[in-house]
Amino acid sequence: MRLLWHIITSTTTTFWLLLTTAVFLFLGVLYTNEYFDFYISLDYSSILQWLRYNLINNFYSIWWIGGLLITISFIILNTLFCTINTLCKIVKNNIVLSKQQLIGKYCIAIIHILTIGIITAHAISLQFSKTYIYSIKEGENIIVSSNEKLFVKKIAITYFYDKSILKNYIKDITITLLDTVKSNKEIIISPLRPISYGKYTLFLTMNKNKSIQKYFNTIHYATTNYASYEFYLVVKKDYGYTLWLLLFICVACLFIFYFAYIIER
Amino acid sequence: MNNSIHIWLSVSLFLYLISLILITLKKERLSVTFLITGIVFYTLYLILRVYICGFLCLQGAFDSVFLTPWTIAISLILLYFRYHKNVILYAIIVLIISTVLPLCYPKGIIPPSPNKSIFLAYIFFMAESFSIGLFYISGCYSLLYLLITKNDFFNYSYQCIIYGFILFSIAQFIGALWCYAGWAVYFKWSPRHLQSALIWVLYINFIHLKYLPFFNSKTKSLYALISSLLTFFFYISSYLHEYSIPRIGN
Repeated sequence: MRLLWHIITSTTTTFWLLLTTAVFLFLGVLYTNEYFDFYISLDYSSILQWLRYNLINNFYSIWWIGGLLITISFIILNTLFCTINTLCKIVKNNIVLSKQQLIGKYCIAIIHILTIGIITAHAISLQFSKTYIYSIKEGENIIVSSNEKLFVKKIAITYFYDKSILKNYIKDITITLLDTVKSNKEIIISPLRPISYGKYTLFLTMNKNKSIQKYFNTIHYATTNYASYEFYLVVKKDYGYTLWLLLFICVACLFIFYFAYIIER
Repeated sequence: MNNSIHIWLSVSLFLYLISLILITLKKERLSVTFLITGIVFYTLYLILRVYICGFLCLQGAFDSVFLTPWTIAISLILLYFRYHKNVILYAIIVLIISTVLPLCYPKGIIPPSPNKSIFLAYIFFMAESFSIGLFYISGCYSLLYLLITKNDFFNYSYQCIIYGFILFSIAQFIGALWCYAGWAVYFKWSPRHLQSALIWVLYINFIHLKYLPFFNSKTKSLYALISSLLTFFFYISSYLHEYSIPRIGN
């Protein structure tokens, strides 16, 4: 039992686990590079469902994700037990340590615990987020749920001005949606400016329309003309984002405190 | 104007080369003077790149290939003024290699898209370029430590990794916020995001090496060198990936 505790709380175990994670990530770089389009579906899916769905047909392309998830789970356990072990040692030896050393050690311990929280928040996001993607076309309805319907009223594209070398390139896009069920209120959405809608967040994303892009490549590739893009409305309920953001801010504040108070003194 | 601005890139490279020659001849002050002059010319070049479209377009300067040499030069000069040791300037070799890259690269800019026009993107590119610049410098000092076994090199390498790691973490956090606003996810299962995660894991592992008794300064330096080379390999591959993207203002 003591040997097992020693292995779980050992930094040597951390080293090998992190190295294994690096190997899986390296394989991930190779696989996602090879099957780029295939992995796009994972970005907007529940990870376990996606793995289950692809387990039989695409096992040889996805096995590394399983390895990565298992290794990360072990890292979480190792970090947790290692931190508990360190905290026990700090409590035992707190007379020997100076106030500054004590604060430093507590800071690092809290950062480790918060890191576990960040990974957990990320896991919640990957598994439990609900994402719906709709293609946007002017004059069409988007049915989010039985009592949430949006009408695409207007797609407004702004281009760079005519005398610029960026002529024909899209500068900004604004899409006006109309909430036809609840309030008849207009919702204006643009890329990088997500907005809240009921229990969901609405995002505007755009992708190159490959069939049309081919046409533009042969005629005049230097353009981001409206027709060369497809617009998507991403409707998302992310259960992990708030926790993720909050924990990250806490880690950043602790890091700043640690460097300002401990290192600089 | 568009073609003539690139001469400043060659001028900076030339000045960096002279600076390296002077430091090998133990002319420390002159070497620093040439290095600073090189940085001034490179900064001028980046400012001119901002106006490559005919109006203010930050994307011209915030292209990783062109920004990284500047961040390496700034990091080197900051390191020098902190420690005042001439051996710090041996890392100019890294600066020269990174300045040769934009010289061989398409000089235009990738047209700005609405998904990239956000201040978070510029903070991300700045923090990321500074961090990878510091990782490259750390690789150079690690190699020098393995060859000469002078403790100073190990200390400089360690400092670079610590500050590089902090900046890289900030870049990943800001990059995740940008990704969330633009693509509704803060981690994409793409080569770019996975390689960033890999680099982060490699360096967090390095930070933990000091708790491992079987790792001495030599093996730590070897680890830092391998990590630095991997980082360089990944960024070169992403530059090559972006090589074929149509650019404007060449």
